[in-house]
Amino acid sequence: MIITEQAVPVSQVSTVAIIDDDQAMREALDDMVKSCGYESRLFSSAEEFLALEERSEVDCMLLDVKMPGISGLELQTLLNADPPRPPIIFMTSYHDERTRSAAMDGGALAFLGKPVEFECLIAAMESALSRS
Amino acid sequence: MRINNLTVPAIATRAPAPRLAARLAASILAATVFYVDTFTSIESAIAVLYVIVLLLAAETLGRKGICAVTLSCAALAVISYFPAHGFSPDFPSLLRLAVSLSALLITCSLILRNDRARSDLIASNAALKDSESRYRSIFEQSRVALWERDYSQVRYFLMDLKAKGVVDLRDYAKTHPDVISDCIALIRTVAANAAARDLLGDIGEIAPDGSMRSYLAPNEVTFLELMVAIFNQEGSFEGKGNLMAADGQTKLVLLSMTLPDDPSRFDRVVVGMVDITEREMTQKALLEAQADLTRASRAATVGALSASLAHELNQPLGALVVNAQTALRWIDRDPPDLAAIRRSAERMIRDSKRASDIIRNTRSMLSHEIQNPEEVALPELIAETRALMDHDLGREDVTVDVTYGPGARTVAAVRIELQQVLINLMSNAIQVMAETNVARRRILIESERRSDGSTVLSVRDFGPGIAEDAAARLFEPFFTTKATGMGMGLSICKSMMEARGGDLLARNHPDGGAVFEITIPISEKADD
Repeated sequence: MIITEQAVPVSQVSTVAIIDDDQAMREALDDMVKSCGYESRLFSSAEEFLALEERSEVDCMLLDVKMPGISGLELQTLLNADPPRPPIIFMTSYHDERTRSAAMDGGALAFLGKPVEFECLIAAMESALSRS
Repeated sequence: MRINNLTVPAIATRAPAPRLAARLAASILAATVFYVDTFTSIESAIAVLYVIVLLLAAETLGRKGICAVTLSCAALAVISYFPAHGFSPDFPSLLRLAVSLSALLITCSLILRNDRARSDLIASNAALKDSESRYRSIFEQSRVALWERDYSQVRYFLMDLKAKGVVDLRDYAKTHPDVISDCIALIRTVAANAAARDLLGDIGEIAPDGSMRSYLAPNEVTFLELMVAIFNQEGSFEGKGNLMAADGQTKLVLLSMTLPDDPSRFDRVVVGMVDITEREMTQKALLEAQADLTRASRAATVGALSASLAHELNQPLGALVVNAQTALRWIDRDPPDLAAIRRSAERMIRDSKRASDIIRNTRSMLSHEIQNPEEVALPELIAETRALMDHDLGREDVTVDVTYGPGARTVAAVRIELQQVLINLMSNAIQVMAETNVARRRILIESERRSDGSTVLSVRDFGPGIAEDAAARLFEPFFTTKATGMGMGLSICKSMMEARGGDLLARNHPDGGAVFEITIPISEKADD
């Protein structure tokens, strides 16, 4: 698949926040986002993301469900209480239906299992960014 | 008359009227003989007839009386002698007197001996009666349930089978299942004590033929064992068995009996029974609970382990997939971004290493610590393993024979690993011999020192051997010939031995059965 950077104007490069406690995962996603021509910002925990002051600069979130401290689902709830928030794409090793429906009920854009279906992830990310 | 005065009280059992008549007859006869002997001159030993007097009188007299009558008769004979022959005796008359006196003496001694024998007999009869009633009271009052059963017919039946050439009754019963019910029908119960009636109710007394068929629960293995004991002419029998009580309840009892040496005494064999139903139920429940617990904890361990492994591995594997896909994207660029591809590849290498580290750590966590080979005394290890498997071996009637070659009693091995392999091989051996004749169910363990310094420990069974199509796949993971097997045992055993530089091989023995050979490599420590 040939990705063309022309799809997004250079002046408006979107920023994707990657929130995952696993470093290898963060780095892999980071490179993946860059290969799509977007900017990325890495956070190793929900707390770290909440500490971000320019939250409005984030156009999309790739969020791990299970993390030490505040979980992905809790982070979504916190952000919902303080709108506006960027679209959220959840990623998890736990494919249980309850977590999934809790995420989707909270307004998540997508809920993807790990290992991630690459095409789904890119499609979800692009649909999130085209919205914003 | 003097004879009457000499009488002593006779043995009490003799009736008074005939006694009086006998004494009277004896007295009259004595008087007659005395008269004839004294006042006639018949040239013969008339005095011999005193023997008849003695015999008549003896019936009514005790030992002292008999002696007295003998003496009196002798005295009468001597008295009669003098008036007839005066004081100048001639030889023939003296001889006649001597014959008469001897006859009296011999008769007297015979009567006395007879009398002694009779009183001995009476005494021993009384003792026997006493013993019998003592036995009866013990039998009846014992708190242990006791039966007296008649096994003579069943013994006759079994001996007849033996005479017809049956060697192994268990085998015979397998091909002739009716033999058990035939045997049961041949047993009669002679008596049952109060405790036995308490235990089983009163079926035996109701059954018109005295047969105890209804006391025996069907499919009784213990009963067959008892028949085998009689068949093999063993001295005693002990075993657990199910008995059906009158109320239909099945009771588990411990049976014990002594089988007599004398075939004629099989008509009254005492069988002791102790009710162990409750004890056995408790034990069974305990064992079941233990087995459940083991299964549950094994399942839990496997579950927890796989969950933790899955979670741990998911992260690096997930990252790997993303990295690989991203690398493809960099490759697909025009021109390809080689630096980015390189970074992706480096991350993939790092993540793969992490995944394999996780697996290695899990494995070492499972074995708790890195095990190093130590000096293992084979006889000790084998004895211990045998004790661990005692239950299985006993249940299947499998015997284990061990032989050690020269210098092959000690090896250098990880004790627990070697034991696990042995347990695996032995339990396989037990299982494959389920269809083997009981007499042939053996496991032969042999250790042998090879010239290269390694030791080979072989485990041989007498089962059907390894099927041709199974031979090649025997050590493959998930290969199994058992309905409930996982197919991991031999595979794990082989890799465990290989990891130590040893091996595990299998072949069929030319005389039947399979042989598994564990090779334990040479080591400096054991090389003495």
